[in-house]
Amino acid sequence: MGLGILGNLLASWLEPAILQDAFLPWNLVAIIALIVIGVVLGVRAQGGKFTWFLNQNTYWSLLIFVGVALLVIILLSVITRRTPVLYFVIDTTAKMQPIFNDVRREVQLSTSLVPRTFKIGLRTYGGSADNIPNCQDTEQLLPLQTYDNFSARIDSVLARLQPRGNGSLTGAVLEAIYTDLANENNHIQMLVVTSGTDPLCDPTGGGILERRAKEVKDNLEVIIISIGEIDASRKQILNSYAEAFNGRHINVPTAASLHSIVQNAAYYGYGYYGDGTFPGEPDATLVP
Amino acid sequence: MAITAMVHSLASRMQHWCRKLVDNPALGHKVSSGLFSLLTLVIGLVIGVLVLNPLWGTLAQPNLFPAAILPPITGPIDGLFYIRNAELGYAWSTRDPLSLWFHPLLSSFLQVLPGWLPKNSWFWLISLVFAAACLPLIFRLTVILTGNSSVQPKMIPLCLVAPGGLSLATGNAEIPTLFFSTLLLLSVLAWEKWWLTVVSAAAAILTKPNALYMVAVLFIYFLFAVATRNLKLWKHSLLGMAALLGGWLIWIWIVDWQTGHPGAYWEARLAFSPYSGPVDLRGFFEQWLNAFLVDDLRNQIRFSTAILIPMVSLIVIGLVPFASEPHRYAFAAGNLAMLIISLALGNPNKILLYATTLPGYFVTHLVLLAWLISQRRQQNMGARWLVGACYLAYCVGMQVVYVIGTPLGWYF
Repeated sequence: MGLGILGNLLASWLEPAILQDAFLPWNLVAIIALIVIGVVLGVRAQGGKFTWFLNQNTYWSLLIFVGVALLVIILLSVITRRTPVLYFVIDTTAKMQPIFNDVRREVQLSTSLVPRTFKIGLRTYGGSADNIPNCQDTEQLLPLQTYDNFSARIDSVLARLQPRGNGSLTGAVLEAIYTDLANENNHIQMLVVTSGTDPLCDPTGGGILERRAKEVKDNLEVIIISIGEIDASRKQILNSYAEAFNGRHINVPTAASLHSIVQNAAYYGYGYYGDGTFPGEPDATLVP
Repeated sequence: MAITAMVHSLASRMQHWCRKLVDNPALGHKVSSGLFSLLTLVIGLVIGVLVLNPLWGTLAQPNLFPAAILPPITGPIDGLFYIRNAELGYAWSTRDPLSLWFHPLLSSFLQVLPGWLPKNSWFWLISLVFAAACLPLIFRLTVILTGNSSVQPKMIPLCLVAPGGLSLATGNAEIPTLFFSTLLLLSVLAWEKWWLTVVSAAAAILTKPNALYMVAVLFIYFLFAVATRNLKLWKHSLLGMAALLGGWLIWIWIVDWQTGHPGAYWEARLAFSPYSGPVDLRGFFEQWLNAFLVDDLRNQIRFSTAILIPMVSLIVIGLVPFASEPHRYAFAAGNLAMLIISLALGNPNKILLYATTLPGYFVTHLVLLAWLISQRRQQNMGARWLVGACYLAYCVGMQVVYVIGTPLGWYF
């Protein structure tokens, strides 16, 4: 196992991006092939007797080999550790008015648990004071970077906002993908917090998004979180957005559920046990 | 008068059996291994009922033990899902992974059992019956693999000390899998009954997918048999592998067919958490490191045990004496298969219990203990003390993880 990985480690001195390849399945294939070749050569050297290989000393040699390989992988994981990225897109349109304070509190609480090693950012849509509907009303309020105290920053930013006007969820997500996250190669979890769709600004189906969404990179995971009761047609629309972005839509009853979802996103996976449902809420819609 | 005659008859029968046992040491071994297996189960049940049950009930996280699996000992962790599949049937239409993940044998058993008892009680009883049947087989396998009598039947209760050993007293699917896997290995190595090889392999894979570890074990025996031109071993190991893989493929086909969606089985299996990040080898190690960076005890334990348990098992396998070296390699292959599957899926869950599905797990545990407490203590005293102390600390640590970690979700 070591040779393939060490080869990549050496190559990384020339070009750090090559380190990504250390975890390609081809390395595993190369390692297994090396072991098989070693065994075959050994067997041939011993006059074709396979059983010479099976002794306790050889076992310990192989075990040390496996142990060293495991240590190399762990070391490599430390060196090449990808910086996890959490990106919030929060709806601040008029329809968020009744729940905005709850959302603000939950986002502040949940982000206080996100480690400082994470890169975090915030974009909002809506909030314009104009009486004229403006579907392009979206702005990046906290750029993507590591923060010493992100929860305080996001709270102070959200405190200044007043939910009003119109805005486009899909427009904000696409703007985030093509502008804010365009140069980000780490694994990104984008959490879109909304109370539903805006009929004025959002398309009624995911189909028209699919062409643009196909360009979305594999390292992006979009989770659309709708809060409160939404009717079947809006649910369907949000599902279709999630499908178009190759992500998922989750409908939660109250903003309180945000806490566990952000925590799960930050900690990579929670567990599926308990009451037989996934954490968060019982109505999670997995797409596809 | 009649009672006196009955007592007399009973006494003479017992005398007859005792004489038979004395005259036939092999039979004596079988009887005593059966008795010590029952004793093991009784000790396990006493611990389970008096310690695990109240402790798990008190410490359980909300909703971890819903009413369907109370008291907690009857079906902790996965038990709920086997019971749910038995009661409601498989969720073919919704393709719910929490239903499709679980293989059908135990749920089918539960479906046909009468309704005198709740399903979770039946689930527990089935597990106990398998545990009682499994321990003598483990002992038999130990004797065959070591080729000597260093392990005595009276050591069987020490299986409870092995990490995850207390699960022998709880409702679960791991011990039934262990029973069928042990039966399969005994059939391949000793009894050489083709029907038993096929039936036990199919039953093992239809109980839990963890039986796939046995493919790696049998593959080593197959290679060895080919190299040594051992025709019977060659045939039986190949038959065992074919039955395991065949049974698995049939179940995959049934799931795909019933859901009307080709690939449904794999999709369910890969969706082990909808909130997980990159579930692959790299993601596994990143999550492990992340757990230490953010001081997340649950993930520290979950990921650490997933590495520690197979590695310690590999060391133990290297230490213990075997009658023939292929056994060492076969058991190591089983452990590596478990480790590789866990790493490749990025899923560290439940390795503490998955390890118990390997027939070599309790065997090597017993042989190591026998080696540590053997009469020839003057040999390698220092090394034995060191190994003994480390292994004891490991077993105690893992028991704490099992006992405290089950209600707190530390290892799954």
